[in-house]
Amino acid sequence: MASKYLSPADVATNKFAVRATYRYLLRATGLAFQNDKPTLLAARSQARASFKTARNLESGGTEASQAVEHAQGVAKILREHVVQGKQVGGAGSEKYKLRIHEETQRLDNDQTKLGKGTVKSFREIKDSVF
Amino acid sequence: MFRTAVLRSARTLAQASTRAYQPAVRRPAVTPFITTRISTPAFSISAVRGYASGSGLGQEEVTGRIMDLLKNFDKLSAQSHFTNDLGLDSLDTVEVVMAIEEEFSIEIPDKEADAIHSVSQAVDYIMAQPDGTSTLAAPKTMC
Repeated sequence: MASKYLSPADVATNKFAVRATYRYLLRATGLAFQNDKPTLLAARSQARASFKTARNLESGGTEASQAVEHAQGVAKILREHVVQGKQVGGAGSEKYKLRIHEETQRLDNDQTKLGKGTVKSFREIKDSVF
Repeated sequence: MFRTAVLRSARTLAQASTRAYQPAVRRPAVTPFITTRISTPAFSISAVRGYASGSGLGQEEVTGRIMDLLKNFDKLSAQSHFTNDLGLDSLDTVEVVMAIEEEFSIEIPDKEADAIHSVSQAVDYIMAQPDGTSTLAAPKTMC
């Protein structure tokens, strides 16, 4: 959307940043949902829908920059905090093989204790449907 | 090392198979000792192919693979412009370029990815890439 205050060059820069963010987010979905086509497609269509609704925000406005920031935050969570797990040992088994990749966030043990109570364990979210 | 071993075993196999087709009674003058070692039939060894060498992707193949990604569009040609001819918006264009990246297992930097607006530009970009040395480093910081 054309801006009242920004020069065409600034608007172009902002558009470039948004496109770059969109690309970054799509790449993050590709990393987080590798070999999981239904989830990958769902994530991408969600990303697309969100970008589409934010399309009419004014270039350079607060809302627009918040939307971009939000998208980058989502991408960061997808990259660092989403781990795919595959049940091993048949149905009802408590064993999951996790695909922890290069960008998965790994902290020290004492740091993970700080988040205690604010995070859910895997056992709690295992059966949830996204 | 591995390749040598594969080639050697393939040659032994090929020799074994040709030997099976040879008649039981034959004169030694027809196949001297030296030639049985060397003359392995070319067709049986061609199954072993070295991928280390090779001329990379051809222009037709690249164009074909990119066109295949966009095959659902009616008026698609090798010169199609994403926005003007196919009616894609900027988000669609990003998605198409992403699909091309995934097809060729490369990662196109933002600046260059943004400059791709048509099928022919995409083909040119892919053709300009040195084989097998894709830029795999993911962008860590955003602008």
